[in-house]
Order: sequence, then C-alpha cells, then structure tokens
Amino acid sequence: MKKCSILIALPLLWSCANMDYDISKGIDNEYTLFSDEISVPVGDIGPVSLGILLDGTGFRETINEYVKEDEDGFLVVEKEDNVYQNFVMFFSMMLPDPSLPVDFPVGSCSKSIETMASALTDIGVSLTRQSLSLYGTNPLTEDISISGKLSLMSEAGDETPAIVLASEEFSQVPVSAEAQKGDLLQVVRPNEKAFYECELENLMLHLPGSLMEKDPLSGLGVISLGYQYKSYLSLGNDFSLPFSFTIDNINLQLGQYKVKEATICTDVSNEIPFTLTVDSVEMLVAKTLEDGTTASEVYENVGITPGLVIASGSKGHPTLSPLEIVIGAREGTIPDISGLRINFTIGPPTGEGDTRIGLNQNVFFNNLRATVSGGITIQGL
Amino acid sequence: MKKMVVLSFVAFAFGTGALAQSIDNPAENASLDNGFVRVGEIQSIGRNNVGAASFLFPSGDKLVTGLHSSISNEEFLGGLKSVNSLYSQMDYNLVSYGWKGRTRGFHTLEVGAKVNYGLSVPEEIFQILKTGTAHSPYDLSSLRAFGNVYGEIAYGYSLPLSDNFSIGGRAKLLVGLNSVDVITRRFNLTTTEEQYILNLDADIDLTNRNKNVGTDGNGCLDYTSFSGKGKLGAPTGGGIALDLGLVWKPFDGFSLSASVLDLGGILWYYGNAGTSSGSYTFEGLKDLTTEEMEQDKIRTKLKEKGEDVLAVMKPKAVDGRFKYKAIPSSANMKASYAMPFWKNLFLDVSGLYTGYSFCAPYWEARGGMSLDFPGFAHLGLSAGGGAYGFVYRVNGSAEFQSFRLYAAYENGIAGVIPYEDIPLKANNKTLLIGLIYLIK
Repeated sequence: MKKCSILIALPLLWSCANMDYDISKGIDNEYTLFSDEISVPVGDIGPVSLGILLDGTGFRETINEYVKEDEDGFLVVEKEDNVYQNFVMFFSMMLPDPSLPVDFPVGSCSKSIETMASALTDIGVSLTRQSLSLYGTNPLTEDISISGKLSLMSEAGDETPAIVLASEEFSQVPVSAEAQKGDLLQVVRPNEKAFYECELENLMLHLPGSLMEKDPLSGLGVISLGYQYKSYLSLGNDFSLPFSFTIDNINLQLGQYKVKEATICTDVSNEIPFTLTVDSVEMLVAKTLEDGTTASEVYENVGITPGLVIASGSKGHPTLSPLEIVIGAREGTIPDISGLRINFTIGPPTGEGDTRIGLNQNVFFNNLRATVSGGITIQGL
Repeated sequence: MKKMVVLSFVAFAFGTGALAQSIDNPAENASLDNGFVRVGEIQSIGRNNVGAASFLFPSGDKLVTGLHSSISNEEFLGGLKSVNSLYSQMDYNLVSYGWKGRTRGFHTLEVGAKVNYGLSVPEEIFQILKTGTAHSPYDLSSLRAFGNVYGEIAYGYSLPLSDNFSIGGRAKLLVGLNSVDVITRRFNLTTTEEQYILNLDADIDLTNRNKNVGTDGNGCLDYTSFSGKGKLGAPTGGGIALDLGLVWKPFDGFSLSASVLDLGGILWYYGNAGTSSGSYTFEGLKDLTTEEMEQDKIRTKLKEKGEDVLAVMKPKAVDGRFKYKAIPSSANMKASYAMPFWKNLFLDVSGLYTGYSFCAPYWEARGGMSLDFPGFAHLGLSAGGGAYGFVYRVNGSAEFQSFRLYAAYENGIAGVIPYEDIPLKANNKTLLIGLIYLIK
C-alpha cells in the first residue's frame, strides 16, 4: 500500500519540477550591471596651474632664460641700465662760475634696450603693457632738476627703418638730494613693438650753485639718468604650440569589467589666457618591458573622440567650456588604463580681457562626470 | 529533507481517507460531543509573489541570473513586481485541550507559538542594477524586513445557538518573545550626472531588553558588540487577539462557516532601537589636485566618502521604544454541500483573505470536493485561483481508535527547482500536520 502511494505521488511531484532549472548544473556567475548606462559624478579636478601644465613641455625651459616671474606670478621681461652719467667734479670744472646755479646742457644720448624680447616675439610671444621708467640719480646734498625729451624706438629691420614708438618731454623734474632713483618720466604702451632704443634729446641738468662746497666729497659722485624696462608677456596671434598633458598612475582596472564605452564630461573653467584645442586623447596601458620594468604605451584599439576648444580666460574672469571625451573600444572592451595623455594645442587668447601670462593662472575641470554605456560586467558577486 | 516530508505527506493523503478537521473556525467545535487533546500541530505557510523563475533563466545547459547580459531588461524586469516580497510563517500548537461544558458550550484552552518573517524588496533596486541610473528618481521606501516570534495562550468558547447555527470565539493572550523590524519610511535616491542624492528615514528595531547592542564612537548601533546576558524567551511585548466564527446549516447537507482570525496585535518593546535619518549628496571627489590623481589617493578619498554615506545610513541608537504591530489576520469562508445521492461526498467552495501590516494581502478562492467517512477517514481535494495564480489543496485525516492524524497541503503548480523545492513562480504553499486524541 505504501509503495503504491509513493508511486502515485511521485509523478505528481516530478511533474512540478522543471528540469530546465536544475541548479546542480551550476549558475553562471557573470553579472552585467547597469546595461543601459550609469552616470557617476566624479568630482572636480583643480586647480591645475599653468606652471604644472607647462612642466615637461620644454616651453618653460625655453623661456626661462629670458623671462622671470614677478611678485604677482606674471611672466615678465625686465631690463635696467644707465643712459647718461657723469661725475659731479666734471660739471664743477666745466662751469665758469661754480658758485652760481646753472642749466647745464648735456645734449643727446641714447642706449639700446638690449632685452631678448625680440627672441620671444620670434616664437610668437608678444609683449604687452611695456613700460619704461626714466629716473635720475642725484649724489648732491641739494635738489637738482632735469629737463629733456625721451624717445623710444623700435628695432630697425633690414629694409624697414626704426619707428618712434613713444616720444615725451619732461621739464625741470626735480630729483631730490641724494636720490638713488628719482622718477623723471614713465612711458606705458599697451601692445606695441618692443622698445629697442631709448634716446634722450635736449637733455638739460638744472644744477645748484657751489656744487662741491657744501660736500666736497660729492665731487666723486655721479649724476646719472637710467631706465627700468618691464614688459608682460602674452601669446601672439600666430602663436601655436602643441603639447601633451599626461595623467599617469591612474591604474584603472577596467579590463575585468568589460566596458565598451565610457563618456567623460566636464566643465572646464579656464583663467589662462590661452586657447586650448584638444587635438587628441590617448589611452595609456601598462606594458612590461624585457627587463621586467613596466612602461606606458598608447593603446590603439580604443577610439577616443575628443571635445572641442577650451576658450581662453583671464585671472579672476575664467571662461567656461564644456568638454566631452568619448572612449569607445573599437573591438572587444576597454583594457586596464594606466593613464591618459591629452594632446593640446596652445593658441592665442580670444576676446577681451587681460592677456598677460602668469604661471599661477589655473584651469579647473569642474563637475567631472562619467557615463558608462553598455554595462559593467563582473564575475562573481 | 523538505521534499521528503512533502512526498510522505502526499502519499499519506492519497493513500488514506480520514475525517475532516477544521482547526481555524472556533465555532466548529460547538458540534463536538466529546473533548480532545491536540499535540504538536504544525502549520507552515510560505508566500512569495515572485518566484525563482523571475531571477534565474535557463541558458543552454546552465542557469543565468537576470543580471546576465543574455537576459534583456524586459525579460528580467517584466517578471518582477513593483514590490517583491517573501513571507514565511510557522505556527506551532504546543498543546490544546478541549472539553464539553456543563451547558451546551464547548471550551478550549490552547498554548502555542508563532514565527513569521519576511522581506520586501522594491523593483527599483533591481532596475538600478539591471539598467543603470537613467530612470531616476527612485523610491525605495518599500524596502522592508521583519521577523517576529511570539507565544499564544488562548481560551476558546463555542456555542450552538440552535440545531443549525453555532458561534464561537477565541481570546488570545500574545506574548512577544523577539522581534526585529526594519522599516523605511523614506528612502529616495536621485541620480543625475552631477550628483547622487540619498534621502533616508528608517527605523531598525530589535527587541531583547536583557541583551543590548553596543554603540560605536558616533553613537551608532554596533551589531558586533553586545552587553548583558540575553534571556531567550523573556517577554519583550504583549498583546491580545480575537478569533470569531460561525457555522450555519440552513438545511440538511449544506453548511456555511465563516471566521475572522487573529484580529489584534502586539505592543513590542524594542530595547535596541535605531534610526537612520538624513540625506547625503555625493558630487564626486572635490578639489582633486593632479598630485592626487593616483589610485591609492583616490581610494583614500573614496573611503572618506563611503564613511560619509555610512554616517547617514548607519542606525543611530535611540531610546528604547514601544511599537504596536498588528499580527497577520485572515478571513475565511467555506460552504459545503453533501450530495443527496451519497452523503459522504461533499462539494466545497472556500475563500481566504489574509491581511498583513507589512506586505501586500493574500487571497484565494477554491472549489473542490471531499469524501467524509466519520470515525474513519476524510479526504478533500480543491483547486482555484488567487493572488498568486492557480492553487490546489489536498487535505485528509485518518482516525484510528481515539487518535486522529490530519494533514493538509496547498501549493501552486508552476513548478519548482528540482531537488530544492523552491517555487519558480509566485506561490502560496501551506503545510499543516497535527495529531488529536479524542476523548470518548
């Protein structure tokens, strides 16, 4: 009876068991998550200063010997030199009556402003906000004053004559007693050719009487006129410099996740007066060399569609440019990524604003986010 | 083992016939002439509104999960419910004693225990895992987990008001033994390219006043740290419940019975209470410098972010609190008609509705027939449909001298995983087995 009961019951139970679901054959432990797409906020990267961007490009080394950073971080060309000088004793001897005040005519003199500005302009860097300050040195114990006319000339070419870039007169500008640098005149020009020669005309020294009686030792002193030249740098309209920015040591182990396409978007905030054009983005993968060391090499089997142009900005007035990079595997999936190399071309600034270059000007990659399409596959949970 | 139990039972049900025994409707005791002692009745109820076939899919000679790339979004998500729930209940009647009163009434005294637990998972969680974050925002507030253990001490009284109409009732004192309850009042997740916003308001409550869960330095419950001696079985809640029923036999051969069971609940004291509340916005890693673009440094920053999320999600210890929880209550109705040509053959129609305070209700309606040979055996078969589709039931009892062994088995027919007995589709499975000594 019992056997009979079991025989009756067995087919009923067995008919309820779907052998297609026989777990004993195993369950595939591959899981593909987020098969449509998943977007993840990545964050913000920055500030990335111009100094960091230029590291390794060679550009910084090229200009390093010509320019320096001023106290505000701007790159400047500076030069200081004397235009005219003479001993007090000389004037005392030349005067018919040294006890009387006299207007001593010096006449004309000139001096080349021997900066490397022309070398910079040759590589496309332009000078901006050139300034030349003329000063006088007075070793006497009494004030003197100086009159004259300052002319600043450009460099003459093989076929083109020098042109006058600035010409200004100054009249009886006092230079106080024992002044090392008494300001006489300052000339500022926004964006012009480089000042190449400084010329003084109708130079007249207005000297007091009895030059050396009050201080006999002042006869060894020198009355001089000098200049201080300073120019900021900006990129010229024809400037074009390709360079690469490498983000290394990322070591994203993407290979195991079988990702086919990833899109990286960011809003680039740029206060560097450069127009940055993203030419290409290269994916770097680690490669083991024969000696056992590892190096990065460009992985070709991935198509990366770079974004557009990052507009130029200025300190305090950054521009915002959306940037989108699509990384897609041409075949298979995206491998492990050891780094990214972004190839830019630096171009001149566009639009209004301060175009002076400073190494502490920054670019920010804000609101960085990544979207992975087609799923992320993992083995086992 | 479970399969063997089922197998044995079905063999038993088909191989024997016995007297029907209804243990639910308290009014049915009114017709008993003599007392009884019932020992060790066990009823197991398992209800799931989705089955294994919603998560596992045959592919070649193997099985793949719904998250496998070969399974389309529609294939996987289309088989899920908006809230996917699993519910289990085990009722254990330790002992029942019934006796005929001096008047016409029938008294019962019963002692037993019940265990129930369940889990509800919103479809959105699977949607995020399967498709990604494109369908934001997500409302995950139907996430729920609970478990309760409580004892019952019941006194029942049934009374025949006339020859064809009886009523009965059962008052139950409920003694809460242990309870855990995870309830999310608010669990919203908004995912955009720019930010993920998590908004959470949830309670995680655990009873046991004698053994306390420790806290970490931030005042959050630390489930790896306990203090005090736990006393298994120490009451942590109390309540009452009522069963009410009636049996009406308007004419010869026809009976109608109806009952409402477990109307009531338990006021639990959750000595280890925690609340997770707050919101967190993840906008990625901020202010990353180029020097920090290295895996280790990024991992460190991510870990910091993870701790921020945990600070919102980890339950903060709060003072112990009382919470009232209704126990699952059900309404039953059954009509039975004895065939005039053979009074041992009955046609039956029955209905069941069970309401839960923590998941969707269950209902079913069945029709069937039964053979009743008083003093010897009873066998019933019925089939119908309900919240989870087709369902069938077999029940029977066998009586030998003063002992009556009875059992019932209810299930759907959508199939199970071989050797595992895990239902493939939404399913209600009930197993009942018990033994009565009839006092004659």
